Amino acid sequence: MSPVIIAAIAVPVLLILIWIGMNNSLVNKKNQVENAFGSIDVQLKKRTDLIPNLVATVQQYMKHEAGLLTEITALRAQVTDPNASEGDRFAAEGQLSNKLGSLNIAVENYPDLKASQNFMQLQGSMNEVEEQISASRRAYNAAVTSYNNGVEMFPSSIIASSKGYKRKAVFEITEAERQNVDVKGLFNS
Amino acid sequence: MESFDTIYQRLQPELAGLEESRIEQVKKLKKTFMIFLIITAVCVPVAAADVFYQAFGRYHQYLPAAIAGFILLVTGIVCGIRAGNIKKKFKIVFKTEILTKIIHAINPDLSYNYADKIDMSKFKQSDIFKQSCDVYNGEDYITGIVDKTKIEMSELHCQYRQTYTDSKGNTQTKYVTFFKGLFMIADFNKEFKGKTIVLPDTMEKTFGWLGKKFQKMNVMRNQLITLEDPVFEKEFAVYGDDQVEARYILSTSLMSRITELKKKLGCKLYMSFVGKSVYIGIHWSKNLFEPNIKKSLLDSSEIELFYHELNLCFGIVEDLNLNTRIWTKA
Repeated sequence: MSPVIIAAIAVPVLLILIWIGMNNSLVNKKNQVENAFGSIDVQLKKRTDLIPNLVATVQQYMKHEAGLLTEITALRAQVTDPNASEGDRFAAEGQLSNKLGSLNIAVENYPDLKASQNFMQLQGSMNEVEEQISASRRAYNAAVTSYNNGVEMFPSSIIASSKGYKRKAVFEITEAERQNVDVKGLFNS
Repeated sequence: MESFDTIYQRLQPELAGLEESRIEQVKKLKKTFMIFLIITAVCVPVAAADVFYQAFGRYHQYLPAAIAGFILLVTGIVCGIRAGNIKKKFKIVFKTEILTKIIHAINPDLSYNYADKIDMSKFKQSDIFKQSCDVYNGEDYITGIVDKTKIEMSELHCQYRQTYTDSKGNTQTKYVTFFKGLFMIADFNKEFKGKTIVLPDTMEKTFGWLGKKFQKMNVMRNQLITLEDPVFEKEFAVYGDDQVEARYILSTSLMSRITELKKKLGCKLYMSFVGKSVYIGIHWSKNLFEPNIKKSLLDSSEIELFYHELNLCFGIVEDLNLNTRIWTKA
């Protein structure tokens, strides 16, 4: 067969293979993003599950923190409410992070609580779950970055726009979480 | 922990005793070398004279040259072995008498065995190196607890066998070193289920973002994990079986600590997180903890070198913050 005929067959075949490869890679990246989002959820749920035990343990010691504990319990109810919208739920999760942070600082006031075996184990679990949440958020951001690269970089951008894939936003903490914890306010209550 | 000066003062009697023995050994070494020199001085002229007369065609006997050459060779071998033995004995006595005491003074919870090394099975468990350990040697095994962290470490020299057929059709065997240096196993402070491997990043350094594509295609490894710390990313390539778990282990603070450690050591650093431990391989071309028979033991700066080498190794535990136990693992 003459080289021209070979090229006429091989080049289109090659192009199709490349097209398939890029298409599948894009789909893979999109699914990775959803997967990573799901794993954040799993960790958030783990934290929610730890809260009742946490509140019960500290309640006996932290006589002055009743207000904070009530807020935490209320936020937990919001987060587990099946009727809440996704936006509201994430806002509540954000506030929960904030309040739990305040609680951690307030514990410094109660040396008996700090020394209790129960509390130390619980704190270990809470620290672990917070780090896992942070890790899963970072994994989500990495997946989104990889997906965005696929959507925006040439030549896979052509395939992306043909499928209607758009850029996604990386995970950012909300304004409420960004506000620094009011330490003075804690020690006054 | 005691300061070096306190330790050095306490070791004075042992050092003085060993120094006497060292001077004796050096004398023996010199004697051995003299014998070799004398034999050389006798044999070489004889052999040379014999060959010289051959050139004049007087007689055709190489016997004197052969005998002289043979005597020289045998003397050389015997003297070489003797010198080697003298040095080895000195090394062993130094390590068992002095080094053990220095280690014990730095941390009484540590034990030392100069001849022992980390189990090959544990080395393989780290999954850092994919080559087979056809030759596995090591020494200077230290094990114990540093504050809250259990550690074990030793020097290791690992080689794989390479057989190839040369141009003449003969099979040649070569041994290639793929790791030589300090290998350490420490109890990690977080629980995890899978494997995460941290390797020196050569691809990205040479090829930039294209290098990343090559790294992704590495079929011998699990998925590539791209992390956010740009300095860390430049130095290391991370492979793991779970994206979230790898980030749980490699928190932002641990990543910067690892980068700092690499800068401090100035060597290639390999790490892996498997099972309950962190495996650390430091590629050091020089042999650690080796005494020099020619240097005086009463020179404190020589002893101080060992003290610093040891502290550098034990300090890795603190450098990686392994004693912080605020999670569920004790």
